[in-house]
Amino acid sequence: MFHYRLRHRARTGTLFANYNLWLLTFVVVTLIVLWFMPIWTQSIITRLGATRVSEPEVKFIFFVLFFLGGLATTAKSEAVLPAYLVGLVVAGVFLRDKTLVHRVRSIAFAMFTPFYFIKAGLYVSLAALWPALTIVGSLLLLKMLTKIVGVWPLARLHCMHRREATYTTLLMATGLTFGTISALFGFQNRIIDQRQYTILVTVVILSAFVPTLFAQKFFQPTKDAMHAWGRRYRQRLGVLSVEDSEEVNRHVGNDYSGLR
Amino acid sequence: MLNHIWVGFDASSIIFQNVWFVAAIWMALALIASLISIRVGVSVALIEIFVGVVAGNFLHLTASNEWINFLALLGSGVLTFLAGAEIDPVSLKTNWRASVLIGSLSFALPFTVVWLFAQFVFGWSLHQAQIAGIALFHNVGGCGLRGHDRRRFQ
Repeated sequence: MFHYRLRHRARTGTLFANYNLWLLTFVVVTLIVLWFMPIWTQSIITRLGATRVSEPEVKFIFFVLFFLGGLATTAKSEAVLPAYLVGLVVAGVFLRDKTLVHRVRSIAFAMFTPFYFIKAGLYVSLAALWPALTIVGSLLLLKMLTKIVGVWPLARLHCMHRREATYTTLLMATGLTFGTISALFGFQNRIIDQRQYTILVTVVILSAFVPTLFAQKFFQPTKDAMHAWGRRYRQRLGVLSVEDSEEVNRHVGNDYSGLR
Repeated sequence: MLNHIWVGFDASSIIFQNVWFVAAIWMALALIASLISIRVGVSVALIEIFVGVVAGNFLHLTASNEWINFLALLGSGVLTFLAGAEIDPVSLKTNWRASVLIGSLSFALPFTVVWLFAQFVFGWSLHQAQIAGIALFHNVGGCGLRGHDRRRFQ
């Protein structure tokens, strides 16, 4: 019996040690990939741009996503974590290369995401929703209130006018993608049941729909207003960019021409 | 024999066992969602969830095939990647203090309050309440996200 326990403990220890090793491998490989990803992506676009018909850059991005996803799930993490970080580091390349963005988007929105969102909707049970409407209402209210308390004063503190602060707060109260991913994760791993999944997804849907509607209908700031906020904020930090100085000079020039 | 012939003509079993027909049904639902989204001007993701709710509750569609789950899995991964890629790096670098502070507080407060509320008011278990907190605190990416692209993901 003692030997069995010892052997069981040793086996469990090896199991956890393996996971720790996988976790370490995942973290190290992810960090290396994240560091080099913008250079690699840019280099593939520049060098192989002429042979676009084989789409090497799109395949490269999918390869990295799938590989890191494999490492993440082996390390008992989630594949969406490295996916978000990879997206974050290649954002600059995506900003410059609009063709690449359109290609990845076309593939994603035509072939992958409909399956994800329709599947997320399939598990919502209308029969379970009606008796839980009070819970849905209170969770929605709670989410909105906490977002307002957490974001609005900070937005005001960071030089935003009331309109832009309200717009920012309302948009920060949304979160369809990650909300449904979290709820689906909980449901598929049997942490929450279908009733709880239905409640959470309904709140996520409502919190994506209602604040966005209000934000765009009543508080949509103009592009100039947001640029002006950026300038005000940078001015306060004392980090005016070249564009800002040119803008300021132009305004000063205009003011002087007005005086003349 | 008759039974065999009858089974041979059972349209629903033929349709739901043929991978092409199943793919066609799912693509038809996605197409309907796109058309509605264009017509009413609401995010296609939201309409796709609604279409899923209708298909699940009234047409009794299920995601029983392995390949549907695989495509859905890729969907969530690529969607997350695109959400990260939509962050404007210049704007994020310039306004990183505001982004980090607003982002952190917009995470911490709803997460904690929803978690505690679900656990102590609704009586959900610890992990269930934590899932509720995580599902309801999220937003796409904070202040650095380009406004015109946000609508697609919200």
